[in-house]
Amino acid sequence: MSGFWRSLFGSKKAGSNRKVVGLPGNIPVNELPYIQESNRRLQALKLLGTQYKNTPHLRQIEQVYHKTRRIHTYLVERGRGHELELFHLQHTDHFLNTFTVIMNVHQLHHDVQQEPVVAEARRTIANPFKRDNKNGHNHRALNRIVSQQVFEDTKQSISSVPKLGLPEIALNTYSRIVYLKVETPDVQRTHEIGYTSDQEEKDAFIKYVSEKLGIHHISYIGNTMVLFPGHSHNMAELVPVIHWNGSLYVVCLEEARLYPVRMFRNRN
Amino acid sequence: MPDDKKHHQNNILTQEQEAILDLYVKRLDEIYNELKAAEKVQVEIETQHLKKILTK
Repeated sequence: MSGFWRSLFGSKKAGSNRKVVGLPGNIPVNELPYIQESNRRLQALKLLGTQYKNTPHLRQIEQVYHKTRRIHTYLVERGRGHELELFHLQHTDHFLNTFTVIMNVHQLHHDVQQEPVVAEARRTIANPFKRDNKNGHNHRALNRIVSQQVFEDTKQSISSVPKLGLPEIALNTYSRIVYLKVETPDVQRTHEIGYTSDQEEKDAFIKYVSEKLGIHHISYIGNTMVLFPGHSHNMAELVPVIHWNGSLYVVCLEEARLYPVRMFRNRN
Repeated sequence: MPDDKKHHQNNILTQEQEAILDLYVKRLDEIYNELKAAEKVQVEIETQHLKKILTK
């Protein structure tokens, strides 16, 4: 039995300090979800290492993996799964968020450098007014005048101008979303996407979203929990997050719609 | 940051991000050491407790 538990958290050797303090003979079953979720985080850290493979930071990313695993093993051996979960929520998840985004943004820039044509197209999307400076200036001026007029109009009406939201999200690094892809008119296949999905699965998902929404040069960031406006059931939904044209968006797969979001930042 | 230019091309992280990575590795050591330290205190408490029972 204890061999099974040890194989679960990847520690074949018993630590030399095992006899020191009151250890439970068996890990209770309710510890199991904590261990599984912790293992997924470890997997995600390992995956991050492969992303940083050709960089001088690899050694430290690997250190993060090993040191995190040491804490995992320590707490699991003592049946302190809840503490382990807390540790991951307060540390590992933020770490994964940050260093995944850094890499994704870097890769995006790298792609742009390799494909100058694409880069030109991206710039055009980002700044439609930049192309012809004079024209752009006129457009902007015109838009401002129209906005001003509409604003004066709305001031007199009852309706107020809505404020757009840019909510902060936190990535969920261990759960996967299932989506249905129509291969041929008769054949539909289910696919999975999550932070720990391999490159092939991620590419398939990017292709799926690109085709569905007609947007290109996007990258998959991870999944997150959100509440959609106007969805009748008031329940949070796990949805994919993509990076496109310099910003993050949540994809509502059912409605084929994007919602802009930003990454949660720990401010202390 | 002008110093970033010195960095190797494969060097993805800015100096600030590198510093954060350094700090994070250190923080993981601290957390582990704190866990071990808490254990030592517990051992000490248990030992004193047993000693008290035996020397009554």
